[in-house]
Amino acid sequence: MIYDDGFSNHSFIEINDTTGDDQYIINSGASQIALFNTMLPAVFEEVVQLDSLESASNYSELDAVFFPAIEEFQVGLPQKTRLNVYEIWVKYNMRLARANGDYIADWVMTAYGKSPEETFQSVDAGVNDAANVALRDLAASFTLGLSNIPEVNEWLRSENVLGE
Amino acid sequence: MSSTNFHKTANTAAELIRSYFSRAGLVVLVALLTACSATVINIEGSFPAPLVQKNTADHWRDLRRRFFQP
Repeated sequence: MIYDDGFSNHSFIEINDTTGDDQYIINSGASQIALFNTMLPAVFEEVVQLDSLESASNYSELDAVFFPAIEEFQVGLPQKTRLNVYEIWVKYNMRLARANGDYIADWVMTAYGKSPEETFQSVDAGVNDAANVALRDLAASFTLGLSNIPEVNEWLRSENVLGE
Repeated sequence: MSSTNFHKTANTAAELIRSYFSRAGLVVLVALLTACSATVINIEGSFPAPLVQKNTADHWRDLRRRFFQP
């Protein structure tokens, strides 16, 4: 897999609607990497992290290169939505290519998580809870649904990986 | 220090502080408060290894064999 800077240092800025200033800066890059580092080895036989596609040539037995990217990140705060929940919604773009860079698949996944607002709970805790649910939602969708993505399914069949 | 002198000194100090804050101090204070108004939230996720079998096809075949075949 390759994590580019935009992914590994992902940061979202929520703007104060009244003043137009930055109100919350939500850094999720480290957790995104923790999630993918847990998720990918559970799906693929062996996973190595690459700095770039060029370094793929250093690994002779590489079947594919995976690039996750975050396209959109949205946060719902009770103080703005007037709902009693914190919400996180993330739109990912997943790309899979052969070691030589040839296209295998490119698909979009979304993750959603919400957490009920609690008395005396900080915004930090509420956002963290919702983000954790969203990231786990992504892990479940990814691990269970990967082989059902048509292009990925076709590639797995061509590699004789699928059992049936 | 006599009582009169003390009051004079205290008044001068108060005026100095007031003048400081009314000029540069106030501007800096407002600028600092504005710059520090954003709250940084670091998402700290904990993700234990998911309960997914690497060889899912074999796993389901094994389950079928154990539970649905005589």
